Amino acid sequence: MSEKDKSFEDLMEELETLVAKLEGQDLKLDDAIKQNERALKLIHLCRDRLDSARQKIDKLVRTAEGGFEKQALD
Amino acid sequence: MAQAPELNSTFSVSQITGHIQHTLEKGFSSVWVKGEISNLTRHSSGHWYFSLKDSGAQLGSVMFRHQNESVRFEPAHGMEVTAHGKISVYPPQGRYQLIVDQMLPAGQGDLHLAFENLKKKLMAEGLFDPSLKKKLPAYPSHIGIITSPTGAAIRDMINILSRRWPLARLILLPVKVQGEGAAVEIARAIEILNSLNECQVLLVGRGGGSLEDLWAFNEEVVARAITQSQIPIVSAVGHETDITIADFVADQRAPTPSAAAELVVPDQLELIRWFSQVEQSLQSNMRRKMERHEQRLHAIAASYALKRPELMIAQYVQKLDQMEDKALRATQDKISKAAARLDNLFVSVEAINPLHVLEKGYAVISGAKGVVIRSIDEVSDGVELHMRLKDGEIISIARDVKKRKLK
Repeated sequence: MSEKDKSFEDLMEELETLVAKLEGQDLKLDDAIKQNERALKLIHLCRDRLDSARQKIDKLVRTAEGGFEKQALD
Repeated sequence: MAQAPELNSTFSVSQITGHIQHTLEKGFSSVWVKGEISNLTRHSSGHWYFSLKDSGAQLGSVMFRHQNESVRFEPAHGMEVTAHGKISVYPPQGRYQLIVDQMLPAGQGDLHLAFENLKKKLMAEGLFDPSLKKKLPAYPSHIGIITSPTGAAIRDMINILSRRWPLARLILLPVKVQGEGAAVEIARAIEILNSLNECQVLLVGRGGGSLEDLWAFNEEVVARAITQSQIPIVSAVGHETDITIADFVADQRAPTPSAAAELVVPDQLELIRWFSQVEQSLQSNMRRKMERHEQRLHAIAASYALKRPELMIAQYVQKLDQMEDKALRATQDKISKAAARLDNLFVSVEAINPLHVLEKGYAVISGAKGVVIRSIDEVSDGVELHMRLKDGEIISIARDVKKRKLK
């Protein structure tokens, strides 16, 4: 799955796991460097998402057939 | 006192009254009674005395001061009310009466009763069980909102959600929230959003209003729909003090629609602050780690194992020096010992130098041929003797040679 397809929740979960791991002491240096880089990248990704977020609002409207369809609302 | 009366026994008045008291007080210890107030007396003590009546009967009632203080309306003669309390028998007068602890205007009383009954029923079914509560998503990407399309509630929710978490897509499902058919519409909306299967959490609610206005959220159909929802639901009905059945069955109750919006999403500002903190702590953490490793590297570089070749050479050099010293010392010893011996020898040789003896006045006697004479046996009368003294020589002739022991 590419980073773009990952939900914010997925990214946050990965970040939180990494942070917990990095705060522990028993990582090998190589791993620590790698995971540290990854954590910083995740923060960057999450920040970007928040920066570019604009709330989208849909309204469900009843159709003539009795079903529902989404209408964008701004 | 609670013995069953025997068929043919005769009771005293107190006995039969005791039995009646026991039966009534036990059988009607918590009852709701609907009727019209009559003969209301507000006693100076603060207690209220009145009757509840309908077309066929009346019931003497009392509501003591500490209970009637919480009544939120003005009871008056002729008013229809619903009262809750217990039946109590007063033996001295052979009267029974209702001791009222709660009183509501009749319409509200009906709703209240319905509320209590449904609550009891659903609780008995286990629908309020905390273990049924679904966890809310931490970072929802799709949030469903079921409420009235008009009014403050929807506006407040959208405002708060946009400010705190613009990442989420909001899906509004406008419904009627009060009046005829509202409950069914709300329940249906919950089903629709479940079948749409996009939202990770649903907000169901409305702004404040009277008990009647909020009633849809106390109806069983709504409670059932909430219970059956696969998506976690936050109930957000009215104000802080309004509690509805929907609140009991929802996965989480929010005191108001605004509060629901607050608790359903994280605050992006807090999150951004957290990111900065984490970034800093990660960096300082990494720095510390690197420093630790560097120190370790230094320690290893300075360790005995890595220094050994150098150390071994130093050791050899030292050993060589020591050996050199030793060798030098040994030679010098030998030389000085030899010198000492030479000195000794010289002394001994000196000691036996015959010239030294001559110094002391002795003489060396030798024959004519120069052979030293050591014994009288080698001498006879007439033999030539050479006597050497310290500073000269006498040649003489031996006479009168006698052998004797010199002592």
